[in-house]
Amino acid sequence: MKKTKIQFVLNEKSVSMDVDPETTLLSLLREELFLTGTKEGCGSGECGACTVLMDGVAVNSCLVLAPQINGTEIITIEALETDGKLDRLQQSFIDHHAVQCGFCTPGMLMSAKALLLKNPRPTQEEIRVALSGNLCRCTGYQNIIAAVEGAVD
Amino acid sequence: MSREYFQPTTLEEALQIRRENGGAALLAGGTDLVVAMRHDRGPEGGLIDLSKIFGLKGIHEKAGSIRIGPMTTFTEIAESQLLREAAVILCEAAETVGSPQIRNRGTIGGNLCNASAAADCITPLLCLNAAVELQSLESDGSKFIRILPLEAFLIDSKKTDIRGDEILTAISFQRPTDEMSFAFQKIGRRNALAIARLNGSCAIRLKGNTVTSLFFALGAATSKPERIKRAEEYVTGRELTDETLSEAGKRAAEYVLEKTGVRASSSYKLPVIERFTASLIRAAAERRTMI
Repeated sequence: MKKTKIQFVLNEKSVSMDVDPETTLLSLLREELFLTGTKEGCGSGECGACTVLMDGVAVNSCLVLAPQINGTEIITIEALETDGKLDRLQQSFIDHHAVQCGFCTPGMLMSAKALLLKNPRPTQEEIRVALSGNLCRCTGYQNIIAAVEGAVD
Repeated sequence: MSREYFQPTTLEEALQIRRENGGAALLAGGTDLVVAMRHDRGPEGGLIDLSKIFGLKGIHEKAGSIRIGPMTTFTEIAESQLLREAAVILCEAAETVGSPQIRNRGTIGGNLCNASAAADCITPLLCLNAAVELQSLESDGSKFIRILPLEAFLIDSKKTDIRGDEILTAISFQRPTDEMSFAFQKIGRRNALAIARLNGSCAIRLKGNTVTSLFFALGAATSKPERIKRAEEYVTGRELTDETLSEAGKRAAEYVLEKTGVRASSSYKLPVIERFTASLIRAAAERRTMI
């Protein structure tokens, strides 16, 4: 398809670029913008490894076509750390041993971030629902849920 | 065929593009279409992205009629205060779709137009007696509007009555009276990210213990979500007893067997449909407001 021009805000920086409309947001982030913190798992919206925030809500970047981010704000895992300081969620994942192989972790963190932005004091049930679109095959969910609970005020 | 990506910002512009590019597919939330594209089952023509048309979003009520924009996401439906009060089964169905990420992108219009037999939001809308509004442009540039009952819009699995030049512009239904009570249920392999093995909705009105009105629809049972009129007719006018419900379940299972023939899944599905039918009608009845 013919390239199309898009403008969006990525991790608080304005970006303007030409994209192939059939490129997914995930490919755009990883292969053109070299932000490889966002992972590709299933590529079909089942596993949540590619979760990013789009206008403040969690989305599977593998299911968003690049032109659809035109005019939106995207936040990726790379923006959680600021000035060398980890986000509370990231520190809590370390403290609670919520990372084993780490492949699902960026997606887990972004889903958790979306939850805390909307609901700063979620119940455990709300945490479980917020993470229900993210699969983990090795760490186990208990520590991940405990880590999110640990990041709540 | 030219393969272009269109991103209209108004409905008028979108209708014009649709008229001039019959082969282009409509892109809503992308949660089905982008997966299909990944497996080379995407559209052969271009894409008309509807996500930037503000007017296709939102939930409004006017004179007792509730109108939902097709680009309203499942999350927006699940969280709508208006729908929580007026048609809670639609919120409950939207809550069971996919995962939070899918609900944040997937739209009710996409759910209807993709027309999967297992689409979660269709059976509640069938029980709300919903209608769809389709718009297109005439050759003189004037708008042509068709309003169809949802039941008539759904032809078969993945097949609807939308024409190549039309866009779904609204889903609407009358606010149900307090006398009606509703239930939605779904059976899937797991809570999240499970496509329904069976889903269904029921709307019931009772006078004492006698059923005076019943809407009952099943999804993923036959090739499209549909009202099971045989069960509706049997129950209407009868006392709501275990026997009535059991017979309604048998009639629903019989209907499904006639429509689908014996399949590998039949030995599981048919007895489940029997019990599911009874359970769903019972659940709807138990939620009625005591008057």
